[in-house]
Amino acid sequence: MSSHSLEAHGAHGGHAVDAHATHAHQFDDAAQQKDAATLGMWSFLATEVLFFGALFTCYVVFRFRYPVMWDAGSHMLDVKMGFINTLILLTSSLTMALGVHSAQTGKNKLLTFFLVATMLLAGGFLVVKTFEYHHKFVEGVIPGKYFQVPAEEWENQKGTLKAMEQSPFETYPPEEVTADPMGPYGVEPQPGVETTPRAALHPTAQTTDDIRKLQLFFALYFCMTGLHAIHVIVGIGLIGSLVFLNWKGWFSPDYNTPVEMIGLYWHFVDIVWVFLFPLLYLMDRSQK
Amino acid sequence: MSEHQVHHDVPESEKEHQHQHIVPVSTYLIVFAILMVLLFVTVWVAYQPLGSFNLMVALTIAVVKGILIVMYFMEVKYGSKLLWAFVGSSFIFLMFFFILTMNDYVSRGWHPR
Repeated sequence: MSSHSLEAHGAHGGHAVDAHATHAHQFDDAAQQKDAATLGMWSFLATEVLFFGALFTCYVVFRFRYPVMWDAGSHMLDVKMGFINTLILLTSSLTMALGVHSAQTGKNKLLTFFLVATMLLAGGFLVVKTFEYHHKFVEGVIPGKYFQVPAEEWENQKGTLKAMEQSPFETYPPEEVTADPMGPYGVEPQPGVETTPRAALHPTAQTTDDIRKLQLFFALYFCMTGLHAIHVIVGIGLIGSLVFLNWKGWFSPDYNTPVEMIGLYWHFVDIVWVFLFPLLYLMDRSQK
Repeated sequence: MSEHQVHHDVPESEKEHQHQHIVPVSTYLIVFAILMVLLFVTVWVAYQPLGSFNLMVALTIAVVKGILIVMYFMEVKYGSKLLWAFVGSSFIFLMFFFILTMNDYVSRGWHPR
């Protein structure tokens, strides 16, 4: 390391990395520093893959065990909303990639534009998600004591249930219907709370067991999309900090590692949704 | 910035290396166009009666989309071999997770002959 760069570090109050000294003193050069940062980011993303992987494994196990109720639950989700969100998130990935390109080529105004565009698209994603969650709360398909399925939803499931009767993994309807401890309602009747009588539900889906399996699906739906939404919210914060740092003049063609690293994070969030969309929304749609 | 540029002890080839690979905008746009086409295909194919193949087709398309994003948007294609090993290992461990778990669940109903 030359004395020049040492002086540079001294002059900037010992900042490990800043816009002027292109690399910290423990690295040979800026390229090595960037390689180290990239590997570090990917180590983090590997833990994220397994983090989401646990939920995906849970999904696969229960889908294998309870294919009928899994399909019924999937068909209650709104494909149009999921499709719009996939469109939004893929576009935000493009704007993020173009942002990284702007940073690498020194177009800092363009960088701000693309970062803000990415944040706006991420916000749009969350707005759509909010409408979806709201709809589910209004319907009452929230796992827990007051979980209930609207009668017209069951009507829509008839085709699915009929097709699934040939399922090799689950006999349907179950040969032995266990006694329903909760009576003719999905939940214990509460004064002042209207519940759908079981008789109004689909004739073959009358066991508490079915209701519980459906709850399992929606519990996983909310966990998976919720965890993903938290990642989107964190991403908005991170990209916002990039906008601020860019305004402060941190980035140049020689130093733009933070933009690239947060770009990696954002693309990862996109990939998770690319898998969530078909698995949650598009299951066996042709059977309807 | 100027301090950095007076590094006389860095060989010319090293300096070249410092300028990272910049993916052209056209590549990003082409990849984005392919992703869009695949998105429409995955929705269309979900409504086609393919039986148990529906899931396989949906997952194949999702994997192709994922690989495109990892390779081009995340620029792993232009990364070092060490980076490839890091990226690959995370997905290999995910596969261990799936395969070992499902080995158990799928075979639970099997009876010895």
